[in-house]
Amino acid sequence: MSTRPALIRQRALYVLAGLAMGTALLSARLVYLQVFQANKLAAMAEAQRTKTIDLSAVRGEIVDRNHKELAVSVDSYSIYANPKDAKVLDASRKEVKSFDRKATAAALAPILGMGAPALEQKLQGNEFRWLVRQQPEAVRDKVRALKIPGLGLVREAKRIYPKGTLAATLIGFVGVDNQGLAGIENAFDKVLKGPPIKLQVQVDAYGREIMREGPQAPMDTTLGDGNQVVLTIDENLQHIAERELAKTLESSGAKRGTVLMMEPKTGNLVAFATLPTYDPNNFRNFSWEAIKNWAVTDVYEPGSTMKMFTLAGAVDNKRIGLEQKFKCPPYIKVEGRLITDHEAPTWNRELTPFDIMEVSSNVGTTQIAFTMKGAEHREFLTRMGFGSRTGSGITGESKGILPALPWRPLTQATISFGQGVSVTALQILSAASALGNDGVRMEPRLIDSVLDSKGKVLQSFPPRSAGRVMKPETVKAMMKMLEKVVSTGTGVEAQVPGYRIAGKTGTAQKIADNGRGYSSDVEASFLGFFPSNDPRFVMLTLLDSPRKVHWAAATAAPLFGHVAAETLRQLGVRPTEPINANKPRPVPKAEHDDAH
Amino acid sequence: MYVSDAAQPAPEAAAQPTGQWRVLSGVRRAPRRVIPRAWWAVVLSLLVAALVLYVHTVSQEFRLSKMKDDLRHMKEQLTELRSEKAKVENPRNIDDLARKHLAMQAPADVVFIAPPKLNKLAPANRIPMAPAVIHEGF
Repeated sequence: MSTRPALIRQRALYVLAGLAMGTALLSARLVYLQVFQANKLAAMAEAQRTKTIDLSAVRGEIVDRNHKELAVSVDSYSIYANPKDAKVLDASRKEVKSFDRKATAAALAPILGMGAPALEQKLQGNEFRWLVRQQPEAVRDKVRALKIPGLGLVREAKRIYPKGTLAATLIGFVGVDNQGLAGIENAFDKVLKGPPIKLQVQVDAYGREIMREGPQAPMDTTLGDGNQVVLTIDENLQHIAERELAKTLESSGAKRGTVLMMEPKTGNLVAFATLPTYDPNNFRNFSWEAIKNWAVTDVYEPGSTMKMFTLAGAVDNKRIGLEQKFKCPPYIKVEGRLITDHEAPTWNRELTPFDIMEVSSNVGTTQIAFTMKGAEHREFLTRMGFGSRTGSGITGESKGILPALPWRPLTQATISFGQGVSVTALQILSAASALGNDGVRMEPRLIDSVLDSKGKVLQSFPPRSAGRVMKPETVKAMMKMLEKVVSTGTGVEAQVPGYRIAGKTGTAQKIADNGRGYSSDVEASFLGFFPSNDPRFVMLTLLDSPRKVHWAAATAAPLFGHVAAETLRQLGVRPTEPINANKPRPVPKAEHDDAH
Repeated sequence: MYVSDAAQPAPEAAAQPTGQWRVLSGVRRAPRRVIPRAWWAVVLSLLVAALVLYVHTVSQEFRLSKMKDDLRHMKEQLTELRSEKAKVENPRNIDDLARKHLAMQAPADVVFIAPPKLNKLAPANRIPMAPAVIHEGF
């Protein structure tokens, strides 16, 4: 029988063994947690007390070909109210609400330039709401100084268009959350936004962000920069085009107008003016009619400018000779419909292709078109890019309407002088670029490259050719014809002293609003090349429904001349021809685009 | 021969005379004091070094944060200035200023005064002239 001390010793031993075992277990658990589970637990703890927020990079700039800013982003501050967060501890360490709407509104009103009652109305309710967006730094400092619980500030970039309306329909605009809504801003939204910065912030037990001061706080983080989009547009040429177009719209009373200028050798669009336009800084004040880029979205019947493609097709397919003479009566009948030449003499004329182009004869052009089969004629127009998108990448571009085969004689006749076929302004410009590039058509190019914030090229958009669409001999012949149009024909008002200019006028009746027949309104246009001995630019001037003056010869042609003269002067292109100021300019010959 | 323990002198005592003992004992104790002092000096200097390092790190962090803040401000200012510059460089503004303050005209607006002889020509044979633009004060 064991004695009492021995019993005590034995029990103590059990206790010690138990304690030792407990300690061993605890130690093992500790090792397990601290060594084997350390990373996982640390991550869990981190996740519990922090959250990651994405701070958008500052939206990249849109610049012209000379890196002049067309759209930039500046820092701004948005102020919000979240009355739920306005809690303070009272004397008994109990949370009490302390959002005094009236006092907050009274304090904020003079800073935000708003009426206190309106602001108080905005502060009703307990949910989060924006009070004002995109305010300058001075406002931020004043709001910060108030230290009102429940009010917060968020830093965000504000988009600014420093050139105002310049190229607005092309550039587009962004919404209040800096999302691209139209134009280049929309098409290159992801590129311009750039990669967001991931920022870890401390949160409280409710998951609410603890706004800290210092470089790690969201308000004070240096944001990354988005990528820069470099356009092919030249802001000076763009300004010239817009200025001259505005003058012509006023003098002609036209509803709207466009001037598109392109380098035929590269496809670079250097000016893309459409009026009326809008200010992207205040786009909400303008109608969609002013905002949309109708030079690519809307189609029109090109009228006589189409004759250059009809003649080019016939010459390229060797259906006519350059000296061949066509008997041109005052009118001809096709499928019972009269095709006439307005103000044509009553006798039969014998006109060469040069003469037909010079006087813009519908009768002569129809006869030339009939030397080709319908399929052949259509195939040539398809090669020129009619009936398909140009590849410019501009949002909302239309394909135009080129009737499907088989063509009735009347269809081919009307298409030959630009009726019964619909094109976009950009499409016909792109087609004409082939004549300025020795027969090789270039796709219109609007984006030059995308650069990162350090100027490194991320993506480049090299000129793209649509291939050879006509022979160089055809181009030479056509340029001679088109030069004659400007020197003695309907396009004399497009002349620029000292330079050779080639081009073609077009005054096409507009389709009536009900879609049946034609209205009394016209589309006046001039499609030309300058200097035509070695074309640097191909340009289209188009006026929709000019009221005061009807004919393109007196509206679109002088507009072409003014823009071309200024452009050549701006770029310092030397004159190639002698300038004779005393030489009287010939009176433009009437053009005839009416199909009856 | 049997010699009692008490009669025999201690070997150390015999080897070390009493007169030299105090000196030697002093020599022996001296290393015991020197080592702790050196230890404290090392610890102290480490502490001082750590403190200096800490202060330096904190001050550098503070400096870095201030520089980052300055950089952010400068970037903000740069974007503001770029925006202002772009506004000033707007060709339309330059055009307006040139017309308003320098009395300049666009080439198409330049007024030519034709000699009387030319004015007598039939309208179709006259040199086409752009409409005269005369601003107030010029």
